[in-house]
Amino acid sequence: MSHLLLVDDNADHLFLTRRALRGAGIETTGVQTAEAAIEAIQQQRFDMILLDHNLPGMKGAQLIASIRARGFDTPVVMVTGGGSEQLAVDALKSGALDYIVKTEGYLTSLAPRIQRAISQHQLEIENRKLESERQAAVAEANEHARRLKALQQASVRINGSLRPRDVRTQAVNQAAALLDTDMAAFFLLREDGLSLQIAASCNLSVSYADTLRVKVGEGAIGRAVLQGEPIALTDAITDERFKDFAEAARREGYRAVLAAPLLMRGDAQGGITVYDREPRAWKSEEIALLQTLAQNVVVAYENAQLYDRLRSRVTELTTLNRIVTSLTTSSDLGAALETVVSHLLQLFGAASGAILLRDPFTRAYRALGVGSADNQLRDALGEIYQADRYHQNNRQNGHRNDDLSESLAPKDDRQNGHQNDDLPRDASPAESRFNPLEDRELRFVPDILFETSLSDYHELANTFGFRALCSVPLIPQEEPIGALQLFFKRRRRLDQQERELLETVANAAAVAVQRGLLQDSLLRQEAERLALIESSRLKTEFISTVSHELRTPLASIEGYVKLILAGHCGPVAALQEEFLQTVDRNSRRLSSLVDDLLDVSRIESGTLALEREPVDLGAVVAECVQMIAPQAEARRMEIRQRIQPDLPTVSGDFRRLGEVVTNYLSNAIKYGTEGTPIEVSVEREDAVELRLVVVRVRDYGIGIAPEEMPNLFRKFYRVDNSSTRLAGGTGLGLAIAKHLVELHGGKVWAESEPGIGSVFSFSIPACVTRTEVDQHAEDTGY
Amino acid sequence: MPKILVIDDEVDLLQLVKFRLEQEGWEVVTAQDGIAGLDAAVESQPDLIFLDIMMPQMDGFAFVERLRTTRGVHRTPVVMLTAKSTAMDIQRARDLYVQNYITKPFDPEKLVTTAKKLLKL
Repeated sequence: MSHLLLVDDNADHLFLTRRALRGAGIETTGVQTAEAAIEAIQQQRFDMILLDHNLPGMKGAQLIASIRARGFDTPVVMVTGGGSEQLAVDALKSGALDYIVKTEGYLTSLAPRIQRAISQHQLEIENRKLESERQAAVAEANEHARRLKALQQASVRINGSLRPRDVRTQAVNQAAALLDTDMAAFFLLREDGLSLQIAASCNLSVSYADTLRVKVGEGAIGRAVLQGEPIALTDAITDERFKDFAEAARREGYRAVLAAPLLMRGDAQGGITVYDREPRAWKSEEIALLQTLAQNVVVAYENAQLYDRLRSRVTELTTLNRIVTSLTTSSDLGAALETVVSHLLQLFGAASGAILLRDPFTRAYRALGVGSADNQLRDALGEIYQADRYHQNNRQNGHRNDDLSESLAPKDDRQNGHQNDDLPRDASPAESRFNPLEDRELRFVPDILFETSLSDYHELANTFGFRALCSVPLIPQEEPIGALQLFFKRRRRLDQQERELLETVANAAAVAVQRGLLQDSLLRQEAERLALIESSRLKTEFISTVSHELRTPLASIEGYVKLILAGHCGPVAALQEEFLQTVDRNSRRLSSLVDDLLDVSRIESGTLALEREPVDLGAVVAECVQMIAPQAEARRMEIRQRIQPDLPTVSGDFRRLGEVVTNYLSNAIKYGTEGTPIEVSVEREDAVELRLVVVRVRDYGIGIAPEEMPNLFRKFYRVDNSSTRLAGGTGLGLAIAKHLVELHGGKVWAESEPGIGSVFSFSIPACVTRTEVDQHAEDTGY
Repeated sequence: MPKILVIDDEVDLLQLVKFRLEQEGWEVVTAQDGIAGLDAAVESQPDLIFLDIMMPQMDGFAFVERLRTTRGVHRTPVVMLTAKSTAMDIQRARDLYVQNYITKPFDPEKLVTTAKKLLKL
């Protein structure tokens, strides 16, 4: 039911109007003044105001303005006594919906008019509302389309980046643009898995972005990561839940926060946060937008990471290949190790590095391949490494790092005699330390200064600004032989792939070093062998020269003595002749010693060459016996020959074989008892696969003691010096005989019974003749 | 009368050889090194040369090489008279068409028998 406010100063008129309207079912409230009307409006809602134009003190138009000024848009219908066009225009101008002229009987038509006006008004209101709703819907649809387009563009941009870093940067920029905020940040889970840090940001202060650490579960991003869904915050400064972050929000100048997690295979690995400078009630659509963007970022980020890993893997493998090639092909180990270090420095972005090798004997470390991107640093480091820094001497004092710590102390201290103190120089207990050089596994220290057990390295770290250290032992077999060390100027992480790469390089280096050391010792051995050969050659040359120099004067002595003895210089008295014979005999003895020495030197230098021909050993023996017979006769000894008929020939040097036989015979003459016979035999003997011709010379004399037997054929060996001196031998004869026989592929041996006599023998393989080959073929059926 | 050239840097030995050969009634010319020996050979046109190997300036081998290419004397028979007696030395001498090779020390009688054989006396 409609409720009208009637404003009319005429009470009768008011009464009549109310009665007329009540009859039509319209409820009314009547007031007679403008003031009362305003008061009523403020207390109660009316569907319409019926206003008399002529109120005391205020025109109807004025009252309408006053009502509108108070924020009420209740429709007004003006009622006037006299009807003029101007009045109607004024009423409509002042904001009235309609106007009614008080004519005769107008009250009867009043109710329907009012009702029509009210419904018309309500329809208008309804229309206006519908129109504004329609406009809002269109605007929203446009906005939605715009955002979708922006999201799509953002995704394209983000996915176009191939490096994780670029993806992160694009992600924050696009997020800020998409949600129309000034600031945005890309959070990543830290290695501990418990906190987050900013990996890329947009319009946040650098100090804030670099240092911010947010625990998972705290703050908007922490909660988003923990819960795996977006968190929206209208005002960070007033929100009690985030009061810990209010201060940061004030400083950075943000109020509203919207955070979405980056879900990689179900796990939140980080998130994207946008910040607005003003409080902002995030719409669900905006929240969904950021979430969608985050999903796109995850895909792009994973792709980029994959690409990045692939790329760095390729770089790693290329470097590894270069390193291994240089290690396996270089003959200069030092240069190869230097190449290895410089490759690693480049690959890992290390400030410096070195390969330290331990001397297996002194246990001191030698630095090879000290490398650094900075020449000055390399020189300084090289000096430190050279300065016995890593000298080890655990055996003496049990303090593994004593020498290390001492060398790390300033050099001045060293010369103050501290090291001569009996007290341990090192105050800290040894077990609280570790020595990377003694490790058996890769050791990575992200920050040297935070590692108390590495206090030895603190000064090094301070001096050169090193933060991280990586040390990989070189273990070719079981024992570490050194270590590969890299120093970094920044804290860093070392992922599994990098570890494996370093271990592979260390293994290759260890093997190369081991091989190098082996090569060293092989080269040394070879040098020693060559030196031995050279010294043997020099010795042989010396003997040869000496022999020659001895022979020349001997030639004069012998020649002149023989001239005199032959009577070419006049008659020689008997005593003179006897003495000259003595000179001649001794001169010849000296000559034969020189000959023997020359033979020995030839044998030892391998320059003694045989003139081979088919030789009948029977003929050799016969000739030698004939030659030596006078000497045997002088001691009343008879040489009995037993030469087997039809002996096979041997391939040999007639003259040299004769020397062997003569040596055996002259020994028999010397050592046999005077007047006893000497028996010489030449026989054929068939051994397995081999036919031999054997020569034996038997004497009957003092014989040789069993303990002397093994030495008989050695150089300068004589059974008994006094007897040999009497017999006049050089002590070289049997040694030469043995060599000569062996050069013929034969064998020498001796048997003896002390007090009875000795048998000296040698055998030479027989030649295989054509007929024998044929015979053999017939026998075997081939 | 056969004429024999003896070349040796060892004077004592030179004298010994000269003495023994002259006893046979032969003319003996001497020289103390290869260069002098070559001059003596060209000048005296000997029937036979006794030659040492190890000599200063020009050794025995170099001497024979030069002798074998020197007009008028290139066919003169040569007997090496030397303390060098390795197989290599002997082979080198053979390659230079040396007629005989006597190693020091030697029996002076061998000089005479060798010379007689080569001089076909």
